[in-house]
Amino acid sequence: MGRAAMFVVMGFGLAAGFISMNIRNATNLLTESQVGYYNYSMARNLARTGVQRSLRYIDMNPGIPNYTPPTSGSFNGGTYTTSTTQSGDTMWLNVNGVYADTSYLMKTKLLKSTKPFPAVKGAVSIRASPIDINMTGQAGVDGRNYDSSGTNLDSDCPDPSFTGDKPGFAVMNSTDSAEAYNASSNIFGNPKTKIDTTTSDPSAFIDEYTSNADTTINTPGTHSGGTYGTAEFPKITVVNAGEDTNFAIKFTGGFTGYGILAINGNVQFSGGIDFKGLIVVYGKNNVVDFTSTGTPKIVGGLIVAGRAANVTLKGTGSVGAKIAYSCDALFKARNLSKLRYYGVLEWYE
Amino acid sequence: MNIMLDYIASMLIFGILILTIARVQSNINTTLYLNTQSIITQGNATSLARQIEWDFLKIGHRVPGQKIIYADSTRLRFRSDLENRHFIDDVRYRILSTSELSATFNPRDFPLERETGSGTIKQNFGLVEFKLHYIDSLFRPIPMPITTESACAQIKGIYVSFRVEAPEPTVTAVDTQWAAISWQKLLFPRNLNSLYY
Repeated sequence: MGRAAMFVVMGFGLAAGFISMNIRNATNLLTESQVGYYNYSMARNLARTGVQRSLRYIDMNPGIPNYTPPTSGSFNGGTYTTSTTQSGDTMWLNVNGVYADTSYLMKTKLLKSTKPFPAVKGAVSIRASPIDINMTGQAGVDGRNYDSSGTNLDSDCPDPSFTGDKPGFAVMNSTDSAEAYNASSNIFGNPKTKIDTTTSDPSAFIDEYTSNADTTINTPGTHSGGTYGTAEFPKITVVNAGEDTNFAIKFTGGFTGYGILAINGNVQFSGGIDFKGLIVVYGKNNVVDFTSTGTPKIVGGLIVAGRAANVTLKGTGSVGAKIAYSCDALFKARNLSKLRYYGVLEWYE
Repeated sequence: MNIMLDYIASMLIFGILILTIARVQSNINTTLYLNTQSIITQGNATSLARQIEWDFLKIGHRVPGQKIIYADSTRLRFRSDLENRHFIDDVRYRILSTSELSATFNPRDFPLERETGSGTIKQNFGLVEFKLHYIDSLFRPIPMPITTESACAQIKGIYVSFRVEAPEPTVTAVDTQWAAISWQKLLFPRNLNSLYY
């Protein structure tokens, strides 16, 4: 009887073990099904992260032609490996994301492009009327094409859309043309002034500049100037100056910059400005005052847009102030890394 | 007499034990059955999700002209080099009626038909709901059906939602239930130039 009871107990034990194993297997299968999809999703996200990281690495190194981003990285418990090949503006970027035992491969062919850029029609392009131009001392506006330093005339242009000499002033009507023409004898260009109503409305570009600004100056008061971008790393600077005609924002020190300077409202640069690239002044009644005691220098282009514009350019010394058109400087501003993007030519995943 | 009483008592205890074990076994079977239905449903859902992602994310890959040919809430026809072998496939997705899947106990499920250059497959994932919606570059829904080339070119994103149920019901003490999973996702096929980097 004791032996029989022992067999019965052992039988029950075996049955219970078998059933328990079945339940565990079923639970494991359920878990594997869920975890498998999770791993797959994570591997895919890692591959996408790898694509994004690689592109941002390239953006951060604009001075290095065909820069190769790091070939591997890790994120959130997984890893990815990349391989990059570039030819001109075309890039082949393959990324393999790995999470746990799952991998996900993305093969991409991307085209590096630039975002739309305002049409610069002259050294000073004014899309506002009426205008008031005041030029004193040795101040000059020159629409001939200079190199990016603003010292040498240049016949080359890396971008055909900017090529050739431009007018000194591009304005909206004949009255404004006469106003600009008579402002100074130091106006050069082809021709000196021109009626051109196709100057870009910068409002279409301002959101882009505002959202990508490297520096935004909102604080009213007197600023001592500073450096906003370099030749290698041009930047986007936004100044929200407001409508105060007594200039809520004044730059009394040296203002040096490369790239794009977007100014909303009235601003005064009284301490000298040396800017290479595009300056866009947009607001209602814009007053731009370059009353430097030194030699203000803007190489690239100046666009003023709004209901009216008042531009004062004053320079002392033998050289004087200068706004010079430069295709090269505009090209560099146009191609600053934050205004570049990658369009998809092919994407396989 | 005492021996008889022992026999009767032991038979009673044995009977109770057997009934208890039978009940436990029944519960375990139900649990196993529930688990099995869950596994089937989850497996089907993840398989379908992966298939849809695999296919839809390739829409327009290496296609020079029109990438999407036709789109409505239950059908999608597009072109793509699915296998990355420089061969463009004409891919069609559509759902069939419930009568096409009468073999299962679930009266609501219907098959999904996937047609490529390799052939047509009628797939049984236990679908009971399958909806597609399309958005343009400004995330606005595009009215369906989308038939013209210009309208199809506006498609930049595809919102996919489906619900999968088990092929057989799980009978509980109070009701008949079906193991079910819902899945939804907004997909951006990169070759539709929906995104910039």
